[in-house]
Amino acid sequence: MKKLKLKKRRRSPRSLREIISDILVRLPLLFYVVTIVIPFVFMLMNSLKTNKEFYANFWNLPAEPQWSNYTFGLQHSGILDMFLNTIFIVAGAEVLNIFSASMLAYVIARGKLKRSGLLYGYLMVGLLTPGVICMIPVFFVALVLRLYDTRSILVLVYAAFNMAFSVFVMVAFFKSLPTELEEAAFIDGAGYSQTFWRVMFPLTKPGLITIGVFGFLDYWNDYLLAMTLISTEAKKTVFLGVMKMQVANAVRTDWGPLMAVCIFAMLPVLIVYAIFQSRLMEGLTSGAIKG
Amino acid sequence: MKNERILKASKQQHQLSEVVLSLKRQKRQRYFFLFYMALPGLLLYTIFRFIPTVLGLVISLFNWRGTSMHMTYAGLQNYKTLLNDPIFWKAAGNHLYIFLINTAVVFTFAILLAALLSSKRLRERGFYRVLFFFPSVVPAVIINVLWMSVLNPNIGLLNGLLRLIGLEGKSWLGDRTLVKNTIIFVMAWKSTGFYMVLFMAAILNIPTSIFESARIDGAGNIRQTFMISIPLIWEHVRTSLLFFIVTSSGLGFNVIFMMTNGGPNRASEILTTYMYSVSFGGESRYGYGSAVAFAILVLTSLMALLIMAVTKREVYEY
Repeated sequence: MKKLKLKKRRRSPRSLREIISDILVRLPLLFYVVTIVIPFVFMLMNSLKTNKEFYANFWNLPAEPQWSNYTFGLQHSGILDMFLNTIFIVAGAEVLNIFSASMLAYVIARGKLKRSGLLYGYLMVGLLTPGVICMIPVFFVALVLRLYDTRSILVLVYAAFNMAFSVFVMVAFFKSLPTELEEAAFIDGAGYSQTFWRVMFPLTKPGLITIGVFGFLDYWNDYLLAMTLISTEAKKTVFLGVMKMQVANAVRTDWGPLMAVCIFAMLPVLIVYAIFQSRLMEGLTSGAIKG
Repeated sequence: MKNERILKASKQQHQLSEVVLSLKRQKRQRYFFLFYMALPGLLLYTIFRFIPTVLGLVISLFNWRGTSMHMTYAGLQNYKTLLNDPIFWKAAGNHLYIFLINTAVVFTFAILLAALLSSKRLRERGFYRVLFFFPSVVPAVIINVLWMSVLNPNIGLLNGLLRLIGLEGKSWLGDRTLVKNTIIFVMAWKSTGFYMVLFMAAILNIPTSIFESARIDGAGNIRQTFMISIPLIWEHVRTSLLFFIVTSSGLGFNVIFMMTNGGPNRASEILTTYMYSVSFGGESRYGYGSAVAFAILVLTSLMALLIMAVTKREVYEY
């Protein structure tokens, strides 16, 4: 009761000047909000329209939602198979990246090696050179290893491209854990691997989620690497399929199904963002503040 | 008596050597453990990320058609061709223009928005934060479809709106003078929210006592932003700049490749799209493409050095 009263008293009546400045401040914010929201609303609306409606007037609501755009789009483009491909590839890359990166990070953070700075610098190369310049060489490596046009090459390359970032996040994380934990585990007779897998690894769950979410967004949204490394239709990832539809759209326009497929392909990203957005920003900013 | 003492000493020595042995064993175990822990990550990174970075240089010294493993040594021929290639120079110019302006736009808006949103008076700032961050997680392909449909000269949303208020619609992606700025807009639209969130956290991390004493001294909100918030987060800004310059060339490729593929008439061609078009894009000159890739690395590093030098300021501790 007392608290409430205090709070109420603190909010003094706003002057006209304050109200005007409040509105003025919100104008640019509103503009940005509009540029983000409107295109997506547009996309959603058009995914439910017939082609005729689309050309007639693009900001009318669909007379009758054409759910058939979704079924048609998904059935006739092979997108469903590509969607499944992407799920397998992303899952593989996630497991590979999360485990190998946290193991490597543990060695750097807690291995008490004299030259761990050297390892760190070696990984730094992966953060300080743009990934695009690796396109041709990665294609070459894939040919040499006879992995070109397989789904496994994407798993390996995704996991490797995100390695440096994941290791950096995990090193910071392991360094923040108290050393007493390991010592206690040793005294209780646990060996090195037991200490890591039973004690340290489970404790890093927040860090693992951070690198997992960032990894997921990278792998799922990738277009570049999939385009250079996959050529067979049956092995393509979902965005290669969407892009193909978009290119075909320039010739034989069919906006409804294209928009429907886009929304379908984006759904996992939306779900992950909805669940993990606070974790995502936390992970981002904790790293930023530690430098 | 003497025997007993000898016996005791030898026993002690035995125990000691056992301790030494077990220590040695432990050390061996430890190295073995560290080795197998580091191995998978290092192998992956080395084969698919580190070696390719270096390998690009080697490939650029060869002529390679990409269909077989057959390569012929060409020396510096690819680089000589590069320096005499007018399209390369045009692409390099576009590259510099697009990325420098894009960086300036993204960081200006990200910093200003972060300062604005860290003010406690905006009660709905959580909403803005979540919404503005969103474009940075949207897949590049979706961004392409989204903006292609908005910017379409005939049926696009933007031109429709312009016509509604009596203005003439423009060919946003087809006009040679407009296309670069349109692309900068789309790229900035995607990246700004991400850096805004970073800087917001940094500003909120500044002790409030500093702001309070400034307020007592009579500094208003705007003054506080420019005299306190921005100088104190400047080092974060510079680190992020470095990160942004390195990563944005990938984003730039995605956006331009899908939306214009360097057109019209190479007006939006940048080095990354040019690298792609001479190698995977049909010409199959992978050696030459690698030379372009090396130019990308050089140009990116130069831009990074330039921006780091320009933004150097005194570091404030708090």
